[in-house]
Amino acid sequence: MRTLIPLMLKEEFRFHASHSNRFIFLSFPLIVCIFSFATAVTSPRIFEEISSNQLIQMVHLSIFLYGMSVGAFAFLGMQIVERRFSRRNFLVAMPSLLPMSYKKTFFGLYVRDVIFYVILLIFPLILGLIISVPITNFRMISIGFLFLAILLSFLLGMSVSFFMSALYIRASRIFIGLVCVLVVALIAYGLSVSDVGLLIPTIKFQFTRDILFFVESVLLILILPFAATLLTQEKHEMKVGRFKSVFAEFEKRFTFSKSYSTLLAKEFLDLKRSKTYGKIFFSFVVPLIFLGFASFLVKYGFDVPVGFNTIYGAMVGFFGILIYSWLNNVDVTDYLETLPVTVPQLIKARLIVFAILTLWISTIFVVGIGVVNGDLSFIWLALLVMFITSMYMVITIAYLTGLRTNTSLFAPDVMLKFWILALLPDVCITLLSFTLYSNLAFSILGITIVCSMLICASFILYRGIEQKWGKAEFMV
Amino acid sequence: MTVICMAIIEVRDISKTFGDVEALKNVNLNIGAGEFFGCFGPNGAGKTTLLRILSGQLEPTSGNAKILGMDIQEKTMEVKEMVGIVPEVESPPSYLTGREYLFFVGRVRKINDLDEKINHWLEFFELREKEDIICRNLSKGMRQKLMLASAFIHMPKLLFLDEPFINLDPLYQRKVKDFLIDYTKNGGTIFMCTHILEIAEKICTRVAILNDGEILAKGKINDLRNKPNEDLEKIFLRLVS
Repeated sequence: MRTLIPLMLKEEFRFHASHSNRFIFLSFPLIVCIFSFATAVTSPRIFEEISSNQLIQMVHLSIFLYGMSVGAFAFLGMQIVERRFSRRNFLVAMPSLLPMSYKKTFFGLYVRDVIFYVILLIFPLILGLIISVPITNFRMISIGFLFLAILLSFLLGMSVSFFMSALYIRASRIFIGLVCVLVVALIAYGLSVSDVGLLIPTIKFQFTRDILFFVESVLLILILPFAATLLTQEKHEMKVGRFKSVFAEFEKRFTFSKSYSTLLAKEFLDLKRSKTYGKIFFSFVVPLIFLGFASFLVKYGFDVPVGFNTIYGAMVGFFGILIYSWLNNVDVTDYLETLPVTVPQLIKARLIVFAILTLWISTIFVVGIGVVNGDLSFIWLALLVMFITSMYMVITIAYLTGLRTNTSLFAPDVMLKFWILALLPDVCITLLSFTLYSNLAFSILGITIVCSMLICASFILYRGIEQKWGKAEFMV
Repeated sequence: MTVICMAIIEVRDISKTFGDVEALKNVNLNIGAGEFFGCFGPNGAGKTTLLRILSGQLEPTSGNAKILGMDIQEKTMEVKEMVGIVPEVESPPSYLTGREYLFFVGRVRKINDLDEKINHWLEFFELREKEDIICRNLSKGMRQKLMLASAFIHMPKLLFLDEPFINLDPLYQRKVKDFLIDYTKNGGTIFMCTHILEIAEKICTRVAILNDGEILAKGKINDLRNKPNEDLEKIFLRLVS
């Protein structure tokens, strides 16, 4: 491990830096730090709407969900083992050639990313708060405690994700059963109790400072990756199955998309045969369920009267980015270099795939959450917000990152543009939603203006994809 | 001196740098219709880079190239429609079957009588038995056969082949070699990079030897010989060592 982890860290750094450059990549933590500082300095305005405890709880939930979104190491590891990323190969696949174990390299991925994300995100986040102390008068001891608690939340999110992805690969039926049990438990729990801490003990630890919750969190953080490592198989055998030729059939389904029908047929066949639908469920629907639970919590637990349907609409749009990222990771695209197909054509085909895959799920969720919250008054507006933000977010991310979403997002220039282009409008809609009940006309007018701007921006960015990525290569 | 009637490939001062590495330095070439042109060189000499630039997969840093009379940088898609490319790495899409991949290629290239052509190439490479297995479960050799079939299926005027014989068993090396010879006899042009000098010596009408991004020598193999019986391997070793 002492040899493996530093080499894996080097590998990861070089991989990310290869998409921008070392200097730009290393300035990423600086941007996170500035963002954290700016948020801290403007916190008095935020505290006018919600309390510091509510804000901290939301930060924990976000960090936990982020940990979950980056922690599916069993999926990632298997993907690398089964195929090279274009012409690249990674240390995690070395056990096929060297006397090493897959258990060790998969666990190495976990440790590597813990170090990687803590340095890249958590440290700068906390540093931003520390720098703000002379202005905000936050207590250092509170910041220190917050650091410990959110670090635990992040690690817990990663651990849960690592374990669940390993379980999915080893025993998909048990995985599905477990997810169903969790969903039922969440719904039942959400409807009766308003204490998220029982599900995420790190949050409970933050607020109670009870050592028992600390021990529970640490135990989960140790046990889940250990169990995931045990579930990792040492021998990877690919099942050779025969498939009926259905390409022409698939292509006919997409004739509405005219020149994109061939690419769409290929994308959907890929999704079906690579079993990516399951991964999409894991990385899109599960965070949405958590988000749904959070919405319930804020409304009934905190008793904050917000137009949550519209906030939810905006958030669903944000989570859609994960799907686009998955679409770019299903398979290599090298062979397209040999055909008269351009990168913008594939990007646009994937945007259509994204719309077909997610908009109906998002609609069900937004309406479902409205029903669960007993509030359907602004559901029409929430759906409108969801459709517009979903498409705007994914077009923005496609414009900024092309076919390399995972790695390009860590280039600070890309991340900065993303924050400005995508997060700011989302934050605007969120803030406007808070005033939906207190100042209806202002809120609806504001949301309408923001949505109109997003539609225009979507159109401009969609057209810009051609120019920005027209000369790009398929090879990653 | 080689007289070229109609240039299918015209390369003018092509250079390519990757960061600090100069992969190609002022390369100039003319390749005429019906030529079987071989490009050789040690590892990292710039062969694949040159092939990728000429086939529209990569932008040169400077210089220009005309392929079938079209500027490759301005008319990349038009050129790709008219040529066939076999890349260095055999990487058909993982989750399509062999038949589906050829169908996909045919649809992208808007080929008529597609089923007939797919059947022909599946039979040529004896892939009918495996046509319903997804590409990631095929052996390297079979994947290579699929890449070759996908480059031949529209019978282009020009073929770019990067190590086309790699992973093929001797039987298919022979079969592909014979097909390529017939193809050039019927007016097709081939630009090929390979390390298999024995095959290249028998089939290439002209060759270029690259080292460190520069063309060390080009012409007919006979013209490159220092001694009457010097074979291509010896010529190669003499020039690059």
